Amino acid sequence: MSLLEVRDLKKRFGAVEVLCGVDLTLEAGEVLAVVGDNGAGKSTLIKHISGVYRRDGGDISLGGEAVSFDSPKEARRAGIETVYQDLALADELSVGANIFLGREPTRRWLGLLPVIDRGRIQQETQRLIDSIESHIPDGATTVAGLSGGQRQAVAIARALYWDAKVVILDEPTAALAVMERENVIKLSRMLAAKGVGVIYIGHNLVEILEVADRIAVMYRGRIVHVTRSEETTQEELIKYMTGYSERRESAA
Amino acid sequence: MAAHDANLSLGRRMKAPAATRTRHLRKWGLPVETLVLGLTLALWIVMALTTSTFLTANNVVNILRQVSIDSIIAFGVLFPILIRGIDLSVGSVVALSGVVCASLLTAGVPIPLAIGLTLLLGVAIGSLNAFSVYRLGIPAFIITLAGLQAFRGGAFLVSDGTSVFGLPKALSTFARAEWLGIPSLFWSMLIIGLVLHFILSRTRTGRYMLAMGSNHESARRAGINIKRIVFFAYIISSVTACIAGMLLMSRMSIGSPTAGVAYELNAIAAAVVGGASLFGGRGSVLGTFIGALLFATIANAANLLGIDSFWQMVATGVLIAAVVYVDNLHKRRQSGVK
Amino acid sequence: MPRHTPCSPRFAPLALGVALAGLSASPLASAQESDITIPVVIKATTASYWQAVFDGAHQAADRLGIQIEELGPANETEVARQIAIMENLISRQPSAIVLAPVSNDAMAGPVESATDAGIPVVIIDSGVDTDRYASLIATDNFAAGQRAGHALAECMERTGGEPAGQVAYLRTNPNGESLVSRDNGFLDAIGEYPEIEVVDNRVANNDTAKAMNDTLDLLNRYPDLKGIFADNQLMGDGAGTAFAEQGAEDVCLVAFDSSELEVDFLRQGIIDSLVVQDPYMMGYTGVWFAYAASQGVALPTSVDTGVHVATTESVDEPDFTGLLDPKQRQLTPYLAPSATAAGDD
Repeated sequence: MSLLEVRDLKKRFGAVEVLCGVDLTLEAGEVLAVVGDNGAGKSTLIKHISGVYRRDGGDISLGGEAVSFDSPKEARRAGIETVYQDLALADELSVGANIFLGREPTRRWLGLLPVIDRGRIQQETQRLIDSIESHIPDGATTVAGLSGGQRQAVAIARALYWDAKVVILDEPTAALAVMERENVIKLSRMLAAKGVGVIYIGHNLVEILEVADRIAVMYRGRIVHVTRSEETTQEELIKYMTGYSERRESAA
Repeated sequence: MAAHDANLSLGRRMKAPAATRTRHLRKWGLPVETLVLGLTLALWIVMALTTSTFLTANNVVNILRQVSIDSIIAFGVLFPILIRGIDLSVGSVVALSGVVCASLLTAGVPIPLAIGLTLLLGVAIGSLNAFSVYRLGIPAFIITLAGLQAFRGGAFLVSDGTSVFGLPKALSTFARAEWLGIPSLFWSMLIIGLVLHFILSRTRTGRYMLAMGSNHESARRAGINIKRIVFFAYIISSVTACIAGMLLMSRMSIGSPTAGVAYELNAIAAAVVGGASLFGGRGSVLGTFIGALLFATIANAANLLGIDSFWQMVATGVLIAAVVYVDNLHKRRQSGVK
Repeated sequence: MPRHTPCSPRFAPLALGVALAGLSASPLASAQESDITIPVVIKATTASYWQAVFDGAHQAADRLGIQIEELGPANETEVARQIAIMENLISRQPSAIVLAPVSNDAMAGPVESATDAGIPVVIIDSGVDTDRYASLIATDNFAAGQRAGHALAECMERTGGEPAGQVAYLRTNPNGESLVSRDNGFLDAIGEYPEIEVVDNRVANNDTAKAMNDTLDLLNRYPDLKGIFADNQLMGDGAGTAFAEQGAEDVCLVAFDSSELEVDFLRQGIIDSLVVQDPYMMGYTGVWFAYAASQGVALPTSVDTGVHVATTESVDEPDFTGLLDPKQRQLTPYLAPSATAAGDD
């Protein structure tokens, strides 16, 4: 039984069919890269998995159970964390506050009022930072003071801490310096090593081939090719991404 | 340290000492507030040394009274600012709440009920603002600017254009009372300030306001109930304006429809000088108080020194610009040049 | 040398007395043409000051047996609204118009258009930048400020034995033409008392609370201060409240206009004198003049409706009842057309 299974997922926006029957499986402990040209449907696909969109047809099951999310909150509760391209961190808040945002532990102040348990957040954040070796100096630093790579680490740490089963990384290296990309790849592998199923959306094929166990190629709302990364090359992936293989089939 | 590799991107080594100083300030947790507090203290010391009238019990009590109502309004306005909104209607709400409460009282409504009804009016106004912003999607600047006009008009209508006169003795003496040598107005400000500080720094609601102002999208994705936060922020703003309106009414012993003109701007200035960012996500109750205290001290000092009222306005304006500029410099250093 | 001007409202200003006396002598007063309606356009329908103007206008209309129409924007800032009202009136061709212009420059055009259309316009309360109107009926603010200056000096003489010592004044707004004239009149009058020194002035931006804070600071800074002049009603409310809070009994306070709070302070002796205008009289005279103009009577180009000085001693005199509370204003004999006119000087 796969961790996450998507069957025949369909979505249209008005007259435009964006997903025309997508099939996808994700195993626990693997990094599955989804590649494709702009407009191939990658974003739409992951937004269904993370509960942002509601599907027109098809099924999604998580750990063997059919699921249907009405909101990102429900998806998160079920164990699907998404790290967005723009990172979605609150700059003015500390690293710890960001990791715990929306799920702050509380205690009773004077036995009455629920207040945020700042001590516990601080402690847990420090433990988490140490465990991912990401060079974030201090859980109390505001995110505004961090580099792009460090911010990415915070976002991934957030997913890690909350025991996510599935983590979706949406172009995690898009805004990063070359040196910091390595770190993100390392973090992705670390997530997988902890038994998390990672969906990695990306453009950079060199990077994809390095990070992914398997690669799924999308073209015009379909998954046209799935392969193990050691069994493919950049050239082959590009052929599928540009629809070259399809054209050849239809010509035949 | 890795956290400061961002500073390297400044590219110029000469910036390093500034970065160190910034870090030092950050350790205090109150970068701009520390600066503004320093300015205020310096002004107090200079005034105490150069005039015989400043550091007298009478004058200090006067300053405490003067700063109290302004601070309460500024505390309230801070909350919409934190969520990257604004509330320009508070000055008019001060007037409206004053005349409504005074009208209720002169019509014979018991004091607790009149106060309660006026606070409910604050809840209603805040809800209306929040509804317009959240549900109707009207920019906060526009809807509260409309409120600035409409509530002022409402104050004139309720009072028939004149001040409402004839408050019960208990209310008109309240604002003049002192406990332990400290004016009742200042006590009121302290209590409201502490409650709001507690909410902002200790509760989830407070943190969600900061998160939402800092990054609306991240707050939404974190599953925060945005609607609740928007309503909360605008209701705090209107309710504190109503409290300030009633205190002002008590101090003036009339409900005046012309009260509080341009107070929204003073309040916003106090919050900003006290470290709040108009782009949301940053600001504190303590900083806002220090901002308001600085303005009250300047006004008092200008009067005691006989400085032209116009120069006082110019000085206040320059000060706002300077403090915000320094704050921006600080932020740029903190986050590296973008 | 100080002039001791008469303080009692029994002495109406000369010009007004003469003008009204002239009117009553004319046969017009008894004319009964009930189909005549004179529009009265004021500045702000929401303010009680202007309701008093309407009251006076109604009183005049009743006596003349004509009708008036109450018009005006809700707020003094609505210049465009008042222009629109004037344009509509011009197309309706009333026999005359009474207008309190919200803006002296913006309203000049509509006033000229009405005059060109053969409609006499009587201006009340504030001036307008044209001379093509039938008559201007307003408070002479310079003279009113002078009255305030003398009232303050008199109070200082009463409390301190001589008109001498430090005084300061609270200014509403340094832009308002009428307020600047008022302040200048005050300074002019104070200039006649060599022993009085004006030590400070504070601009309180028409904010009662600021007026209060400024007054507290003035009292603090000048322990020997003998007098304060507050140049409008809101300044008077604020200064009076500060005096009440601080208990400054030995300092004289003269303020302008008459809110309930000011009158209460006057009664308690916290405010020593109030200089009050007469909006009722403006409305009353405005309608009289408009009617006269519509009948072709030549009018004086400018009339001062005068101000009156009420003191703690005279506050409850019947003559002041209507002046201090325009809601109770009745046309008392001293201001009736037959009143004996007495000079200000």
